[in-house]
Parts: sequence; C-alpha cells; structure tokens
Amino acid sequence: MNEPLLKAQGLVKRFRTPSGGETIAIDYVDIDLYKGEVIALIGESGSGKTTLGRALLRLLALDAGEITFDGVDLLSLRGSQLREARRSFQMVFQNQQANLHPRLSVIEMLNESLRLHQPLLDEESRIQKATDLLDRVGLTDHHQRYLASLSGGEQRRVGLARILATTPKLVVADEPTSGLDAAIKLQTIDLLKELRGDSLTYLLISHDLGLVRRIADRVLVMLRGRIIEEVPIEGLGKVKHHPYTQKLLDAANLGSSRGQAAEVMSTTTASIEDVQGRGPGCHYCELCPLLTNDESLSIHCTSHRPPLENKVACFPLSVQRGNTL
Amino acid sequence: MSKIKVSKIKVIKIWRASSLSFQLSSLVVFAVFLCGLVNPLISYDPVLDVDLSRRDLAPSLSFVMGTDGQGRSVGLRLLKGVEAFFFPGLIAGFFAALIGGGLGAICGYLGGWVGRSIAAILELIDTLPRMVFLVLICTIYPPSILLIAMISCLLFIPSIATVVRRKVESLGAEDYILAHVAHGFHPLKIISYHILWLQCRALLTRQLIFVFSYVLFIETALSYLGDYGVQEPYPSWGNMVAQSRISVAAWPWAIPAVAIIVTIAALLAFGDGIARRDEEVKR
Repeated sequence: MNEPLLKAQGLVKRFRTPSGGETIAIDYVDIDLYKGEVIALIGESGSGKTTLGRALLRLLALDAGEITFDGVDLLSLRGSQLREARRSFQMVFQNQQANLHPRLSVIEMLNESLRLHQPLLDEESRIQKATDLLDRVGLTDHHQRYLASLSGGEQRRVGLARILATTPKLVVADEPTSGLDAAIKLQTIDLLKELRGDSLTYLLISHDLGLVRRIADRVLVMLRGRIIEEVPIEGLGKVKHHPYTQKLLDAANLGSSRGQAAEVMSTTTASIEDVQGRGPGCHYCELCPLLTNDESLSIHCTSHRPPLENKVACFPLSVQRGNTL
Repeated sequence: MSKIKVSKIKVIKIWRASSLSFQLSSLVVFAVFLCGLVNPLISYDPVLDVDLSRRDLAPSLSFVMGTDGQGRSVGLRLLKGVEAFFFPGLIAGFFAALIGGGLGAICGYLGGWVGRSIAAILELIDTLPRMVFLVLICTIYPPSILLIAMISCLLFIPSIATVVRRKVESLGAEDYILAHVAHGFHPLKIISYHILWLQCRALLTRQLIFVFSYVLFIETALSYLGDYGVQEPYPSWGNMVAQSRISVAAWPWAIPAVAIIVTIAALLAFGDGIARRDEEVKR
C-alpha cells in the first residue's frame, strides 16, 4: 500500500497514580492508518484505547514516540499550525455530552464552528449551511435546543454535524454507539458510513463487535497498553487468534449457554486485576490457556515482550506455526 | 421590530416566573439606578439648603421626608446621597470583576507552579481583614469615596480570582472543553468565551453587585466610625445617619438607615436572583 495517512511509532504514555506510582497507559505502540480505511481498535475497558485515540490527535502529551500525519510531524506543530491541522482530524467523544457546550443552542454552536472553519462565509450563509448540516444528520427541528433537552443519540448527531462543518481526513470515533438503543445505533452507523464517503479514514474505538464487523476493514486488539493483534476483518473469528482476542470474541459471541458466557466474562474481567504491575513479558501469560503444560515456554512468555510477529504478539502461537523462539 | 417584540415578551415571561423577592429587589435596584443616573442632572447646593428656621420638621407635603437638625431637606439629601456611592461602587465592582476574572482565568489556565504561586499570593491578600485595612488606609491618606472604592476593588480582586480559578480548573477537566480544543478553537477563545463569558458571567455579575453593595456598606460604616467617608456638607447616606444620630427627630437618621438596609438587602437578593437565573440548565 501507499504511504499511511497517519503513522505513529513508539508511543508511550504514563500516568501517575494517586498513590505515587505509575501506570503505563500506552506501552510502545506503533500504528499505521491508511487513507480511506476503517480501523477498529478493540479491547477491554482500561486497556488504553481512548488514551491512544486522544494521543494520536494530540489531545494529551506523550512521554515518547513520533506521529506523522499526512507527511507532517504532528508533535512538532505549535499554536496556529496545530489548530490549522486540527481541521483535518476530528474526534467523536465517548461522552456524548461533550458534543455541545451546555449553554449554547445547537444552531449557535454550529455557527461558531463554521465561523472558525469557514471564515469566508457571511452570517446568513453560515446559518444556511448549519441548517443543511442539521438536515443531514436528521435534526431538522432541533435548531434552538440545548444539550439538556437532547437525547443521547441526538447529542451524538450534533457532534457529527459539527465534524461535518470541518473537512476532516481522519476521524477518531470513541465508542460512537455506546449507550444507544438498537434503532438509533443503526442510524448512527449508517450516518458514520455515509460521512465516510470514499476518502475519510476512521479509527473506531469500540467494544461493540457488531459495529466493528459492520464497518471496519482492519481490527487492532489492545491489551494493557499494547497492541497484541492486528487482523483484517475477513479473518476475524476464522484465523488462529491470540488467546486474549479469542476470549474477547467468545465473550461477544456468548451465544451457546449462559453459564459459558458468565465464565468467559469472569476470566476477562479478572485479567484486568491480575496483570497490573506485571513485568516485561506478555501481559496475558498468567491467564493464557496455551501455556498450561510447557514450562520453558511459560518462563519465556513472562520475561520477554512478544513482538507483533505475523500480526499476532504471542510466542506459543508462533511456535505452533513452526517459528523457533 | 420583531426582535424588540420578542425581548419584551421575554422580559414579561421572566418577570412572571420570578420569585417575589427577586421582583421586589429588582424594583429597589431599578429605583436606585434611576436615582444614580438622574443625579448629575439635579443641582443641589448643600450650603444654601441650610435654613435653621425649619429644623427638625416632620414629613409633610413640602418636605416629604422632613428636615434634619440644620433644616435641610432629608428627601433631597437622600436622593443626592446616591451619587456618593453609585459611580464609585459601579466602577469598583466592574474593575474587580474584570481584573479578578482575568487573573483567575490566567491562574486556572496556566496551572502548574506559576498558576499556583499567583493563586497563593492572591489567597494571602484575601486573608487581610477588609474593614481594618480600609480604616488604616483612610487614616493615612485623606479619605475620599474614590479612595474607598479603589481599595474595595483591590480587596475583592483576590476572592473573585479564586472563585473563577476554581471554576476554570474544574471546567478544564470537562470533556466538552477538550472537545472544543480538539475542534481547533483558539485557547484564548475557549477561555474568554466558552468558559468566562458563557459559564462565569453569572458568577461575575453576582460579584460585581456584591462589591457595589460593599462600597455602600463600607462608606456607611466609615462615616459612622469617624468621618472617613464623604465629608459634610456633602450628603451620603452614611454621614446622614452619622450626623443626625443625636438629633431629636427620628426621621433624619431613620430614613437613610432604612434606605441603606433595604438597598443592600435588595442588591444581594438581586445579584443572587440574576446568578440563579443564569445558572439554570438551558433547555
């Protein structure tokens, strides 16, 4: 493929914990986003998905790493250059209330956005444009509404209208459908697809495998700040996955029996607690079903960081495939 | 035309939805403002007004509020006394809100050790007892109402700045503010418009009115304590009370005293009402 739209390498982000310690939210992550692609980032809560999404758009300061967006070194941009660049990458926030200032009506807010991003328009054509945008996201009768009187889905659509006021090349959508009922969810997905056109790149952060299957081209799996697997959407559920990915997929498919689902859930949630403060090795090795018998392998897994080899960061899998350690 | 109509209807609507205390207090505040604004148009010579032949007259048709111990019209002096605190109070309140709001926003935005040290200095100034400080200043410098207003303004800047700083800090952690950053707004715009204007204007208005009422209050107190306020023969509500407290008649001190109490109470209730109205969730 050609040059990626966004290329990030060696990203690290540490947070101080209240007790004085440190947690690594992003642990040397490399990520490439190609033009026109929809990349889904999945993983359990607390795995660093949102932090990574925000870091890619320079919404928080990184401790290490470099990001190139559209041929420009993103981390070197300052002030007006950065604000200029922000036009081409926008974010849908997980918190739908972030889409609107609580003291501005829908139309006032869109007017603000247009004044910022299309300064050549006069007041009248701005209002006209804002009206068009609201029609496009299906909020024709909501011009004078404020945040508090909009439903969650409507708030999200206001956010999408605001993004449409810019001309983004990349949109990071953080859980764009969480907390929505099935019908609104479908509408939102359709809207996201529609906005996509043919050139827009999405980074879709989601738990929702249904949504991911519907629109993603490529799936990245994140565990404890690392990307542990990368798989094209056609391969999802068909290829031999990292054991953690397998667990996530099982949890999502629950299907068969409730007991099994509950078991899967309990082990996935347990994994969050268990891996905290772990050493350099694989973050999943204590719960890993592939490690039950092989003593030497388990020592290797706990002391070495698995590379994203053949798109899967797992030693036992690469051994099964015939690679040597 | 249609815009004016809409705003008229809005005013009536707001009036009907308001509490009785807000309605009453806004009437008083409106009256005081009217007095303050027409004051420069009224010519009044406090020396010519002295007429010992009409001392301590009870309120009547010719002197609606009676006369004081020197035969001066209490009503006219009460009206003219508004001038003493009106513009100084407004100016003090305006600058206290402006500078306090600006400083608070800067501290909140900068954060880190710079913001924290400015905030610490401001909090230190805020611990000064205002009254004592004012009396001290008034004994050192020749007392005038402008000096009192200026010092009151300075003394209120730190507390306003602290309130605004806390607000800016808490809003800075909100997702919707981060969303404005992500959208590409200039940080100055976010601070001045999205945070200060949209979210702090109610708070700042309340503080402005509070400083205004404080200037009236402190002028009264200083006049009473020892001629630190507006000097005779010029009238202020404070020195009217102070001058006639030994008078035989009740109205020369009772009327300005009631005016002071009612005005301060009304100002505070009005400020609260305005702020509450503005803080309501918009729907």
